[in-house]
Amino acid sequence: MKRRLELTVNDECLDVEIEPHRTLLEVLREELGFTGAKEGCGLGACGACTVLVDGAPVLSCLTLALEVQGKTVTTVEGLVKNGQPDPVQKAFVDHGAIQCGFCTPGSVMSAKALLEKNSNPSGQEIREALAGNLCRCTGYQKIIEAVGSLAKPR
Amino acid sequence: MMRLPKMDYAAPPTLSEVCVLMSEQQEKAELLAGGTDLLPACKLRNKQPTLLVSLGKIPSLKDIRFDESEGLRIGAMTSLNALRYDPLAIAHYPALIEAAAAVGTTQLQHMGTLGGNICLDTRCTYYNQSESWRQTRAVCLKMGGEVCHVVPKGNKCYAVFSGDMAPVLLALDARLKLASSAGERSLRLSEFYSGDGRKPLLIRPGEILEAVIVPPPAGKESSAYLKYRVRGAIDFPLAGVAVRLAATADGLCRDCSVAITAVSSAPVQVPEAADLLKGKSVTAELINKAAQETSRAAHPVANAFGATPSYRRKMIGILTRRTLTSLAQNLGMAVR
Amino acid sequence: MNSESYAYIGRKQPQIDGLAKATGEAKFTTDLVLPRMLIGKLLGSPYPHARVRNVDASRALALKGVKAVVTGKDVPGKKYGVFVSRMDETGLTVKARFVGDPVAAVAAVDEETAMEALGLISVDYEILPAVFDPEEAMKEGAPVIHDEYERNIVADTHYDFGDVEAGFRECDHIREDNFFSQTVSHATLEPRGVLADCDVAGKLTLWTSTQAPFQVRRDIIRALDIPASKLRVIKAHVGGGFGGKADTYPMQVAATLLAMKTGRPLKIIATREEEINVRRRAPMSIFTKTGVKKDGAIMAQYLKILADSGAYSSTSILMMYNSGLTCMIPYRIPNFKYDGYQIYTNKMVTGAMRGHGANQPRFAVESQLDMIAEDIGMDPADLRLRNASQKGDTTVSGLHFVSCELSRSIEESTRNVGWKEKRRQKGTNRGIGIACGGFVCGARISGHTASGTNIHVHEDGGVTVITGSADIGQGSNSVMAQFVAEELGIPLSDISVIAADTETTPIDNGTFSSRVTFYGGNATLLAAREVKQMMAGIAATLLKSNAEDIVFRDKLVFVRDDPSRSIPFGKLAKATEGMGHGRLIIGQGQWAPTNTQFPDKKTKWGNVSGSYSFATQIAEVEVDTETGQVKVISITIGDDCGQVINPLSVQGQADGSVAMGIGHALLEQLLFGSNGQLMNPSLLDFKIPTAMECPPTTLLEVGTPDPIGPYGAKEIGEGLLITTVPAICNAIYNAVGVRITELPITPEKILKALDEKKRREKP
Repeated sequence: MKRRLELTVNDECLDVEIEPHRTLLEVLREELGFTGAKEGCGLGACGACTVLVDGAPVLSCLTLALEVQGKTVTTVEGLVKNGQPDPVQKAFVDHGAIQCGFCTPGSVMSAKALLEKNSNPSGQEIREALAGNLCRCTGYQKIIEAVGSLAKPR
Repeated sequence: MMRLPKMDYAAPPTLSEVCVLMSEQQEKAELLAGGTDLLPACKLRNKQPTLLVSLGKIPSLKDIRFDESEGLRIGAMTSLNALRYDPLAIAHYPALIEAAAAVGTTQLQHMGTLGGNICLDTRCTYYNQSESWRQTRAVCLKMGGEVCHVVPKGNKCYAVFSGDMAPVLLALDARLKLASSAGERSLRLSEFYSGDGRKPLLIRPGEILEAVIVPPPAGKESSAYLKYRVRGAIDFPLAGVAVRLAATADGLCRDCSVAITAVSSAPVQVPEAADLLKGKSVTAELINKAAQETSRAAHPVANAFGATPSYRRKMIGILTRRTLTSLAQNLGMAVR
Repeated sequence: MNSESYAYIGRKQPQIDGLAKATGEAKFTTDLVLPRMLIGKLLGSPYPHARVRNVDASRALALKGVKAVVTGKDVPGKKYGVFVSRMDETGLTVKARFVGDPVAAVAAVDEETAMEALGLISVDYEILPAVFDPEEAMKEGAPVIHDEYERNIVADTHYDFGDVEAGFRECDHIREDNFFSQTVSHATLEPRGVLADCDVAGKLTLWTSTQAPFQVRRDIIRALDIPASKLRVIKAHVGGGFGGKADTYPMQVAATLLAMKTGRPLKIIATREEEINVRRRAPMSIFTKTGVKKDGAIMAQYLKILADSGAYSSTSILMMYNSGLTCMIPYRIPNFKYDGYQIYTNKMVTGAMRGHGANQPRFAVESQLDMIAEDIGMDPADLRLRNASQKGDTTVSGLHFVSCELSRSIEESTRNVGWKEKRRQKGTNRGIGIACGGFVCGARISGHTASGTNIHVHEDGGVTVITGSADIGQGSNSVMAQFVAEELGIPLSDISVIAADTETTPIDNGTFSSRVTFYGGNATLLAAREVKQMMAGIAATLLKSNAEDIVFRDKLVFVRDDPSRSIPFGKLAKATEGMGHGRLIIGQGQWAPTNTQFPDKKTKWGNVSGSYSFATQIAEVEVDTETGQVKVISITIGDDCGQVINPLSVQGQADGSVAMGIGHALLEQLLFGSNGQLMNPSLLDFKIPTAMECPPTTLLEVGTPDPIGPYGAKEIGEGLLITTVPAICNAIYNAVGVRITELPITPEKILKALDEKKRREKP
């Protein structure tokens, strides 16, 4: 039997009728049309499905949708404000932190969560925060550089 | 996409309602306490509950409190990330922080809970596979069948416990608070694990892990956790060692506790190793002996990717030595 | 013109579709949805070798929501495959040759129904004896996997150049060693996928994750016996390929068949498990014999390679050819012999993967060169310098190097890292190792291998580049745009690129063999120059000058000696259309090198590539001698990829190659069970590097503009990966004195070797 899920996605209050066994990733991609978050493995080992729930980076493929009842979800699409990309998105583009782009939405969200919590992360902190986002193209260096470029010395 | 089986969902606002629900549903329901272990198992059809009972709507399960006499009381639904950055935990139990930081990835630490990590299901290369993958072989013991593909002549399931938090909590002599509709009970963590890969937890039907209580540190003591894994993130431990070490005023070992993980179906304490040090002046030779004892207590089998059983056993010894040595040095115990 | 005077070439350019990818807007196949779309799933064989006697799908078809089930018997056409001489696939099979070989496919209204339907299909199998080890499979009497191939030998390639026996007789020192390179997965983050649509007139359209849309079309029309013009293949955004998506895969055939049968759009997206089970890098056992003079001069070399093909041939003959060919690139070897064999086994299929056939022998040869250097008391960098190929060389096998800066790459990279000092450091468990390599810029061994580009200039001066070259994430669209930007003097933001659609873009055989910048770039350059010529003619009229004196720069078109006589590019575009007497501003370019020669069918003599890249790689590692764990501290690369077009992309290829090389050297291994089943088809258990394992890389560009490549560019996508692995192996030896000859170098292997070393030293 379908259940009603109320949540805020990218600043918009939404409600949607879903079956209780749906993951947040399924609901975002298939019910709400936010296809930015990707399934790379479906089992929590790659990070391509990373989104923010109340600001924390979580794997939407392992989050039961009903668990985010009443919560605030931010996807990679939601970082664009008034047509302007987020500084994290811009840094990824400008630093060449993107090749094929399949891991990018997840990596961007992990980077965003890190910078919200820690405005001046060290290289090691960046590596740790991004270690859950597998990338087969970039070798991570330019991702780390991109995030590092946004670190603001206190 | 990897799809979950059809199942219902409930998120009661109180623990007592959860208890009632769980005792009614028994085996058909699973507790959702983070989901990073349970949901992959459901997707792979290792488990097919008809109901998921979420503990996410009970705020009290996320409390962390410190009390000089009781120690640290950590709600079972405390996320590993919250624990990792908790000032009370940081101040008193460095090993807890090290273990929480060593779990999976940042995302998994945000989602995963302390209770969930303690109750982690055991793992095996032949078990943590999709339903269609498993269909090429006879049903194994862990899936309810009759055979073991790892130890073909064995009549026991050797699936390995791979939690990072449990060894630390064992070394810290933590107790668990369990709730059920029949009432509460408390037991030592060491009494919680069955050692049977099939059903690793000695939790009673309908019982819920509510909180973990870590005794207060007494005097000069410290703790540490070291984990061997293939990569610096994502991977489960292939060997893990937690040690608590306490010093006397004149630098002798006042107390010691050693626990290991990822080398059998339960995390285990190694009193044979700890006893070697108690009351002694900690020498390099003694540490080596303790490391050998710890290594002897490890009984891994070939059911994890990334290292052979003999290597994992060897790593237990090396990690034990390294943990003990650094702790002794940190506590100002001269290691000779 | 040198790179200083270029406006776009040699300058850092973010990918032109970077923002689309960073915002989640870029649509990969999995993101595409059509009205009434069905979902498909494949049913794989649970047996490694079995004949399908019968498929009973009645229970599946009775399930509500199931629209069709197809099996190997429904595939009407002929076998397909990468090479005409090795076509052995059907998409859905009537004889399963590995665990997971698709025998049926189902179409249903949603994925859950499709999954349920798979469980309701009963397949009656006749189980056949299976063979998993290539050596066993080669023996007389072994189970035959494909009837046409005796002893399961799918490819055997032999070279014999110079006089190897005479060469060895001249040597002062000869070594013979055995090596083994394991099998690894491409592990692209995007799993394979396809969306097929069939219109009422029977016209089929496929959107798919592929490196080679034209190859997909060629294979599917064969497999399903449909006319080429009835099938359109469009490349969606592709989430990485690395060679794995260079072939047609069964899902693409099944989706097309199901769309034809149901008349509805149908999508199939692989799970990670299904994804990993499609293609992998071939494992190789390699025997290497190399002989040198006292001064280090290589006089002769012999390699014998035994490679596992898995259940189908895929790119086998090219790979086995490459394994020998690429040994001839970095060093002058006057006498060379090679015997390569690839053998069918009842395991999942091996195929092209970044470095295609070069990685495995490079690991063997570069390891052995270090052993030889030690034997003869020579610095391994000096040994390589002594033998390095030079510009103008023609190898004994016929390869010709029109540009080559290998010596400089050795000199600059060793200087940069402080090679001599670091080699001397003792007792630190830190070490440094070197390896060299080279690669083709598109191997042309037979058949069609040209590229084409069309360019349209719009009336406002905006430009659309339509090319067959498939961007699979490496950024070729941006490189093509850079060429056009440079030629027409307009910014990249005014250029859009449409890449790889069999219906609208020029034919191109795909993104592999490091051919895209070289071939597609030259084609694009020709198209841009055609446009430029047309527009320059009009500009000359308007500005009262000569066409050859017209300069295109900064969105302006002006007279070289008098820039004040100018017209904005957009205005010129409009004027050209208006004054063009009904002609449109369309440029066309098609290109293939003219200085190549197909290898001789018998001797293999020939020059397969217009030019060749060269590189030196130096790894610094630290070894924990108690645990055996290796930490890669840094990688330094001296690279000759000719003229760098986009430093951002070039550095990205270097970083990515290093990461993949670290995985191949230290972490990754696909494992198979006793039934030939892949044991670790997941990103948890197949361990690709994370951000924690990958050190910073230093890339030193030492190349000079190549005379053939567009603006002097050569390849960089594959040639760098092949040297990472041996550089790490050699650094480990330098650090702790143990030589690991079987990959991956696990901590256990290091500990075992350290133990053996200790026993040897203290008898």
